[in-house]
Amino acid sequence: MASGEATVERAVREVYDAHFGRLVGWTTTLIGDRDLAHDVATEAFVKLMTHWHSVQDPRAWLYTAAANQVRDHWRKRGREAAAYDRFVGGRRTTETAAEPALDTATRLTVRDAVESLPERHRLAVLLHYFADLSVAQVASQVGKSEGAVKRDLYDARRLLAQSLEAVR
Amino acid sequence: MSEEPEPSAHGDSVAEFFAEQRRQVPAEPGNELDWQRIVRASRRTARRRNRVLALTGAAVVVLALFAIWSWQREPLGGSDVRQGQAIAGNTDTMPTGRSSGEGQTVSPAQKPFKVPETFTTWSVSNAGQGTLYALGSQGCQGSVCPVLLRSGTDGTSWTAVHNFDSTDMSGATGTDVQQIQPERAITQTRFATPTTGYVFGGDLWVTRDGGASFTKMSHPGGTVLDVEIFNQQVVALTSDNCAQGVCNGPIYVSTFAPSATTIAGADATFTPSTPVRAGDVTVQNGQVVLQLTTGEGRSPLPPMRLDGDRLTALTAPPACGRSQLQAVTPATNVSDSLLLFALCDPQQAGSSTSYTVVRSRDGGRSWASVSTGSLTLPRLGQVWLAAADDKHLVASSGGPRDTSGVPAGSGAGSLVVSDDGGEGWAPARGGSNQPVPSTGFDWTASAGAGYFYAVPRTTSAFWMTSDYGARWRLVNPPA
Repeated sequence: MASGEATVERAVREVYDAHFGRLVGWTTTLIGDRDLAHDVATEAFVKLMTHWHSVQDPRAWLYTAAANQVRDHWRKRGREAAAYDRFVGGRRTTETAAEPALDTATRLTVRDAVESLPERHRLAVLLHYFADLSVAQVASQVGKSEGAVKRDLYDARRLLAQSLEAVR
Repeated sequence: MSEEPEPSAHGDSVAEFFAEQRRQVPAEPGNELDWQRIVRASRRTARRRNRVLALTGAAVVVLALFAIWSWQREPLGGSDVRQGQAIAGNTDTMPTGRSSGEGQTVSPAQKPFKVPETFTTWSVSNAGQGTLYALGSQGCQGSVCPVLLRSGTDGTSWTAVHNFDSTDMSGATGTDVQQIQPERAITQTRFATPTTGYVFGGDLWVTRDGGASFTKMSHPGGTVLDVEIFNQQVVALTSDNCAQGVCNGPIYVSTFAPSATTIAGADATFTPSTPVRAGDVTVQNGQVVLQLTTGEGRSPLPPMRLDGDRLTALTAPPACGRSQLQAVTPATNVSDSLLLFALCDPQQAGSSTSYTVVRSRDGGRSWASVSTGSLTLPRLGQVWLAAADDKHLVASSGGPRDTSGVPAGSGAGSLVVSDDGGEGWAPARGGSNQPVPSTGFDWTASAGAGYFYAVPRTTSAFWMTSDYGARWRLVNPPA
């Protein structure tokens, strides 16, 4: 094995020890399938190893990569699959008669909350509120100014506050 | 530094909800088995690259031997192609290509095949002699693969000539497409002649046999942002330190001839003060202008002209207020000087934005105002400007759409035409009365003479005109 490759593997191993388990759990919460979440986290680490030399903030990078895969998964599965998940994923066992954009069951999930938002707010909310990245970290990952991220989060918080109020 | 607490620390109901959800996230330490899986996958990727390298090297040797054998049997006399003559673009049957051995990786020659029904046009290039190339996507194994089409009949009929099945198109699907693509992505095409051209995204590949085979080109920087061609001069804009749709530089501008087998080095290097989300380059009459787009809310960077090995910022005139020039474009039919048009001073009003149009006849050293507020486009994303000469211009708005979103509404008015040098603008008129795509157009360009192209990127068809924008027709390759 080339010494450069060994150096990268050692560096990524440290990140792995610190963050892999938590990243799997974080992703599982979002997609309700631990095996798939495991694959998402693994893929994020494989990519991290490939891009190691250009990554400045590995934790923020990993959560952004995983969040993008989660959003792709949500898009691909679509509404029908999401409804299926509600039954087999242990998320909700009852449906309201007329399904609104946001379910008003007594237990709101992170996915429900995030998917109730316009697409443009979702990544910032996932990364800031749920992955606990700072505004500066989110801005760096998504290529926006901190002010723009704060505006997105402000708008998202206003919408989410209404949703949360509705389920109380 | 601001003392303002992070939004997640405000202690409101939203912050509390997510804090509680975070506390419930299960965490289990990663085990050795999982780690070994990651290492194996990473090494497998590296090995696959090495194996492809070895196999393609062997293929090159075999093809070279076969080429020598063929030539010795029938030296340039067995076909209609004469030595030194370009292969005319009036037939859809392409000769089988030979790998040149340049670069490190070859995508071997493929036989022409039927245009996939799922084809969506991403990029169009006019190669001359009635030959068009269209790069787009087709569905493949639950994902999308880039595929290159060729038309020798100015868009009337099409044949697929090359399918790229080992690419990373994860960043090229949906409507929020980043212009800066990951490694191994292919999203754009530019052709210098009916036989020689390029496809690029994060990668750069060249063909010299009309798209039958491709060879990967090495270049400065890790990621290709843009490629443009004018009269046997190719310009590539590349960058290092790109990840997830953003590049931190250094950014390289390289000029080379279509016959070059590798890009030896950059003509100029630039390190941006802020991350860039897109890079565009234009070349006309030997003069190169590049434009870098920064992220939302960040200070915009001025366009720059390549002067030898230096990049000179183009200063906006007083008519632009305090805004930078954007959408700088050369008039493609002006051959003895550099006539540039640009937009500036965007004024948002509701779901549309109006612009000041400016013009330069000295390569961007000085600018004159053409019109203020007469060009109005719906806010759909990036704005594109194209010019054929000092009278005929086309402007559009559309992608790349960033993830922050902009008021979309309708695409009406997202493709407009001027026949008086940018003073007045009118919506493009489609010959088939097709409505303008609701998401606008992702790319608009002038190909010389009266040709303009506008590509929505979200549909199978693209728009083209050959009479300076007077009448537009839809070209739908799968139809």
